[in-house]
Amino acid sequence: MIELIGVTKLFGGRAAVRDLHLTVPTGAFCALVGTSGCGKSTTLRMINKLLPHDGGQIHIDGQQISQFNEQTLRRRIGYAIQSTGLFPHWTVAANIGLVPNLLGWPKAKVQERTRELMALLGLDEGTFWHKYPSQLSGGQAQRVGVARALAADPDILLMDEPFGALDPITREHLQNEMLRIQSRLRKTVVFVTHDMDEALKLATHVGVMHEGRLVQLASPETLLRQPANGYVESLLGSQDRGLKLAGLKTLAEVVQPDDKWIGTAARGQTVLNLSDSARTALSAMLWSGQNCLPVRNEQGQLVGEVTLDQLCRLSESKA
Amino acid sequence: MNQRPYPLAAAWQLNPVWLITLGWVLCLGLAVWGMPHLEGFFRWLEPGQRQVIYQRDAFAFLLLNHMQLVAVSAAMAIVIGVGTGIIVTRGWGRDFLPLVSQVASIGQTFPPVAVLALSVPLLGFGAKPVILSLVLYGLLPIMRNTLVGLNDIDPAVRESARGMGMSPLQVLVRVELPLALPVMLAGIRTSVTINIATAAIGSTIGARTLGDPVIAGLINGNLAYTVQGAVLIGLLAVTVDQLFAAITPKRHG
Amino acid sequence: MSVKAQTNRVLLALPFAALAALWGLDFVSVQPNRIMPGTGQSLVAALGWPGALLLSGGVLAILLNAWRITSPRFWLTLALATLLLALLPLALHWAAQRHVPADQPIARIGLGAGFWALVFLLCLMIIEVLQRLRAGTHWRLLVMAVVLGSLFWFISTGRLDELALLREYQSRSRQFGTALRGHLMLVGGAVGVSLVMGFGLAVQILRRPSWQKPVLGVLSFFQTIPSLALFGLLIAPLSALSAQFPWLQQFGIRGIGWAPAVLALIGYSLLPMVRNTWVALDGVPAGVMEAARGMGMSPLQAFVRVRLPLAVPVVLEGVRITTIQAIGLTAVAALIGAGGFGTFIFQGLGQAANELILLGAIPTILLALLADMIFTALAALTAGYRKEVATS
Repeated sequence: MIELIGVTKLFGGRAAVRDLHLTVPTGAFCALVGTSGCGKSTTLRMINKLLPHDGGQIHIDGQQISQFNEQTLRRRIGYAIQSTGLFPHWTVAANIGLVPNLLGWPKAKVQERTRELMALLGLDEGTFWHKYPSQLSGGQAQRVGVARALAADPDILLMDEPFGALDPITREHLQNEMLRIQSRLRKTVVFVTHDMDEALKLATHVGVMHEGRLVQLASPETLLRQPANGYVESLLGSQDRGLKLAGLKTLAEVVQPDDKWIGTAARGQTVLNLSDSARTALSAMLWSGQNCLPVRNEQGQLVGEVTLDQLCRLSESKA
Repeated sequence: MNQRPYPLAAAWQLNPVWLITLGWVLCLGLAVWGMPHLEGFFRWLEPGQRQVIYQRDAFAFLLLNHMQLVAVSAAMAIVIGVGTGIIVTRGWGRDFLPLVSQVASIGQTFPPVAVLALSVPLLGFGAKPVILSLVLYGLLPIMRNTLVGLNDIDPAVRESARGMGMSPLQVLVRVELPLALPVMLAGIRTSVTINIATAAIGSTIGARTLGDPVIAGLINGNLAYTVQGAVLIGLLAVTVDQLFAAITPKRHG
Repeated sequence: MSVKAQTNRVLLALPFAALAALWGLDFVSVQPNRIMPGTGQSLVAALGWPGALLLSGGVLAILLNAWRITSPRFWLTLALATLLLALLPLALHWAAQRHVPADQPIARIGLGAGFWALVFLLCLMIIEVLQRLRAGTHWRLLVMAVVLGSLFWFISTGRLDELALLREYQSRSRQFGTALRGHLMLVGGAVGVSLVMGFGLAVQILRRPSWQKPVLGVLSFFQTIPSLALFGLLIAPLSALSAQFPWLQQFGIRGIGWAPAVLALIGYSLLPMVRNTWVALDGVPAGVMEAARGMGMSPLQAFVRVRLPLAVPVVLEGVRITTIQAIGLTAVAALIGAGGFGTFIFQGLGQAANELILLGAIPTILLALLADMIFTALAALTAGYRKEVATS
């Protein structure tokens, strides 16, 4: 668990972060969103003491970080940044094994862990082990960056716009990977981004920052339904909020699977999956011109159908 | 894997550059050993002189002395230059960074001969003033390139090194210095090249180097002496330069 | 131009070192004649208490002013340092009056280590302050004008005649003029020729990229060979040539003299010239050239009206490097009888006459600094409105 209590950071007399209160429970994925210069990166960098804080307290698992030696603290916390910061003179394997080596793990164990992480991030060992960072594509380098951050199996992961410099397709791909990894590892993550869609997609908690203050901290759904003020609303984009909300819901939450459908054949048209989002369903309806589409489960069996009416009610409910 | 390991390990793989270097070293050795045996040629070149082979000191002695002078001053210049470069890029030393980098670039406009000449009023004649001016002048390219090399490191690399929990010393030794090494080596190469030339002129202020035969030849009008010294100086410079070419690591990219 | 109120460690350290040098080292030395070695005089002995305290007070003021220094107080330090530097000739004048009686026309004052250290440290302070203030070139020029103006006034009014350096100059002022002319002509000739040749080679490389490696390879091989060796090696073929064709000697082409010097200088100058000119021409963005051709310019027009003007700042950088290098090498060329300021240096070394060495070394350094300034200013002038190209 990470707690920031009344944290303030001054740069030359100007407050970059002021009186910030933020609690990230263990296993939560907290995204900090805001325009550049809002203090989100500064906040992140105070957590692993890359920047000292000027006021307030920061606790990790109940202990003040000021009590830790900064190198010990950082080796316990995974850290990934936008331009990856991979060491250009080290191979991919050496880069991933950096923190375990710093912690003095035996060689064999470091190698094994490196193998494990390359597999987790989908990096083929034979291809990448001896490569140097300059020989990687942006997406591959970012995977190595994430693997390096995870290497010593830290409980906490700090990520500073890790996917910011990637093209949209690679970025989406890595976001999905991140979701998959997080569902397995359940780290406590603080993730800085300026991309609201990315935050809504990945996070369990979204913190919106503006001019050094935390404006709102809420779940993605609450944020969409009840933005605290006009600034949050503008970040969300007022026109396509409905779509964003629909993007948060899977059809599994809308459709009641019913065994009576099993065995029936779809009538040669578009079929949706239970794991698809309501947004995808809406798009499929617009495209196919149907207001009712069949849905199937992971095994590929039809389990029900979803209607336009249902989707409309989804956005109204709990309003 | 056909990837070359980085950085110095690359140098030890058998490489055409090393063969060329070896060739130059052999040439130099052969010239030092064989110069006295070329009396016939030099007699043809300078028929008027009674003596056509420089005798005052053995060529091998002059060569070793010359190399020693350059090596000692290069070692000192490297320690001071790299040390200064490191100090002014961290902690309180950063206050001195603008001044040091300015001085390093202004200082390089000073002609090496003038620096050599100015050391005489200070230290008199002999090897000492030569070493002083070689160190002072050789310092500048090393210092400057150390600064450039350290400066050119992607800030994200330094940031992530710290963020991963490396101590300041680890960041310096394992990340910054290896990354700056090629640029630093280029500075050392420039410095040594200039200093081999300056040390040769140093024989005018009493250092015993390969410049001795050249100067003696010029004073006595003995062309043979001059050519003997000049050939050896040229070979030494080219050999050392080639040596640097061989150990300079290739960057990945 | 606002600077935060912060103690400047550099401006603490430099005046501290200056004070240590002033009080720990000899300020001047007094020589009864040219041959006898001088006796060192401490600051107080040289200037008397009032002068010593005045000078130290100025340095101390700079030291104190560094404490929590602010932008306006940086200007104060600049003014103080400039003033001190400009008043140093006055200090020498005082020292001369105290130690050289008018009835001893050959007694002279030599400059001590303390004096040189003070000059050096004051220059460093000025460089530091100018940088912290981000002051423009005109400020640098103003400081220089004040200091040099004061120096020349003191010299021209005869107030520094007792200085050993000036005594040495006066006894060979004609040779000094010849040396200056010789030095400038050698440098100018070599740089001029190599500019033309270098330009031609650079254009060739631009047209035929396959030439790049061999041409630059040969030129950098030349650059590696020490000057003394190259001068020495050129003597043999040239003297053979002039022995074969005696009429060449009428033009001064002999084994020693200016001919091998100019040849070697051109050899050394070609590398920086070709490399910079080529980089400059090649560095013009392809888009700009494409646009020029797209507008209907002929290849010649595109080259002369677009590529060349855009390349000028970087070419000038090449000329700067070449000129500075040639000034230094010309001093070495005195060894093979080519003239120039090197003559004084090597004569001085031969006679163990320190002031004669200085008479050769100082003008050589000044020439190099002057060339540096002129070409830097020219490059800045031509690059003023097209910074993005000049950085290549």
